[in-house]
Amino acid sequence: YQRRVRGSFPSTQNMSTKPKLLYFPTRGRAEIIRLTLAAAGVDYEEEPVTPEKLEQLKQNGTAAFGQVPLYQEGDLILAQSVAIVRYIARTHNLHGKDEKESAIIDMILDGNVDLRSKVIPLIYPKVNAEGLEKLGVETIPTWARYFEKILVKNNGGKGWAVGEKFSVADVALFLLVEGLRDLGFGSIISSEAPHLLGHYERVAAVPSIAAYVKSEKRFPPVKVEKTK
Amino acid sequence: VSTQSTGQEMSTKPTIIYFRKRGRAEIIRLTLAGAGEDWEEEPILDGKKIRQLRQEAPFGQVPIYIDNDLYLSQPYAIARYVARKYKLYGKDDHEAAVVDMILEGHVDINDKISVLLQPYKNKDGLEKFGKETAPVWASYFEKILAKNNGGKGWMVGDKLSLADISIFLLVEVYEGLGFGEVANYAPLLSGLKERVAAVPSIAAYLKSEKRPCIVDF
Repeated sequence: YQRRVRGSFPSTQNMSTKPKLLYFPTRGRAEIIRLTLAAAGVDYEEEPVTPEKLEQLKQNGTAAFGQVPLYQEGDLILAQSVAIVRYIARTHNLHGKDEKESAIIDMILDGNVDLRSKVIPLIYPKVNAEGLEKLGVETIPTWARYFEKILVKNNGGKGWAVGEKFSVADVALFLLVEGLRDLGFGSIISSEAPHLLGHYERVAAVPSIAAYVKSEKRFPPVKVEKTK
Repeated sequence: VSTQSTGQEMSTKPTIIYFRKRGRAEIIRLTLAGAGEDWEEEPILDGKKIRQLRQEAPFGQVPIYIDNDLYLSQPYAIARYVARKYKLYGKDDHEAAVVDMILEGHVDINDKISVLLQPYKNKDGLEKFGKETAPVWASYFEKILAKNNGGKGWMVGDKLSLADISIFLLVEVYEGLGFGEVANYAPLLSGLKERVAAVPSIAAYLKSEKRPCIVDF
C-alpha cells in the first residue's frame, strides 16, 4: 500500500482532487483504463510519461513494478493496468451485481489479456506483418469463437457481456474487436463472431464511449501495413 | 442439493477439474485451503477427457471450477471469486486494489518464468534469470510488504488475503527453481511465506495427500 510519495509530483498538483493516469502518450496498456474511466464518468488528468520520467518513477519507487501505467487517486498509487481497471470498475458499479457476475467479468478480462499477450509481441516494438498473418489463420478465429460463445450464453448475445448491465467486460470486448479490426482481422470477426461484432456496435453507441472515441484526446491506433 | 440419475446426491462442494499436478490450479487450491473450505478434485486422466474439456471450457482452458451453476475457467478469476466469497480480498476497495496489483505482478513474473520452462527447461536461461531478474522482482514485492506494518504481518491490511497466498506460491517456486536464498535477498517475503504456511488450514492442506506432488509449473 503506497502512501503519498514525497517529492514525486509538484506541490501544486497535491491541490488537485482529480485522479491521475500516468502513461506513455499512446493507447497501449492504458487504453482500457481510459475507456473504463469514460464509461464511469470520471474526470481525470492524463500525465504523459517520457523515458526520463519513467526512470524517475522507477528510482523513487512510485512505480511499484518499475512500469507504467500508474493510477493515482488521493493516497492510492496503483500499478498494473488490469488492477487499475478492476478498481475503477468496482468503485463505479461496472463489476457486476454479485460475486458470480464479478467472476465471469474477471474471466473475460483475463481472457482478453491472454489474447493480447499473443498479439502484442507482433506489434511492439515493431509490427511483424508475417507473424500477424499467421495469427489470423487459426489463433484469431479460435479466440473470436471463444468470446462469441461466452457472449451468446448471456441473453443470446443480444445484450451486455455479463448480466443485464453494462460492465467493464463490455469495455474489454469493445477494445478487443476494435483492436482486431485495426489489425485487419475484421472479416474474421464478421464470419466467426457475429454477435461479438453486434456487441461492439452496441458499446460504440453508449454516449460516454462514443464521446471518448471521437474526442481529440484519444491517441491514434498502431499502423499496420497490409501485406496483400 | 439435487440428485443425479444414479440416485446419488450431488455435492454442494465446489469442484476443480484439472490434471493431477499443482500447475495453474494450485493458486485455487491454496485459496480454498486459506478459506478453510473443502472441495472436490476431478482429475483429468486421459486425452479424450482433455479434448472434451477444451471444447467445452471457456477459452478452451483448464483448470475449470464448478460451483453450483457457475462454470469458470481462468485460474486467477477463479481464485478471485473464492477470495471474494470468503473474505480474503482485503477489507475495502482500496485494499482489494492493492491485492489485485500484487496478483497481476505475480502473473507477470510467472509468465516470464514459464517461458523458461516450456516447451523445455532452459537451464542457462533459468540460471541467468535467477541471478538477475528474480531478485529484482522479489524486491518489488518486498517493498510493498515493507510498507505494510513493517513487513511483519500480511501483504495487505491486517488479514490473510489472496495476495499472501500468491506470494507464498511465488517464494515456493523460487526455491524450487533454485533462485538463490530468498531469505537473503527478500527476508520479509521469506518470513511471510512461513507465516502463510503456518495458517492452520493451509498447513493442513500442505501436508495432506490432497496436495499434488507434481509441481509442473
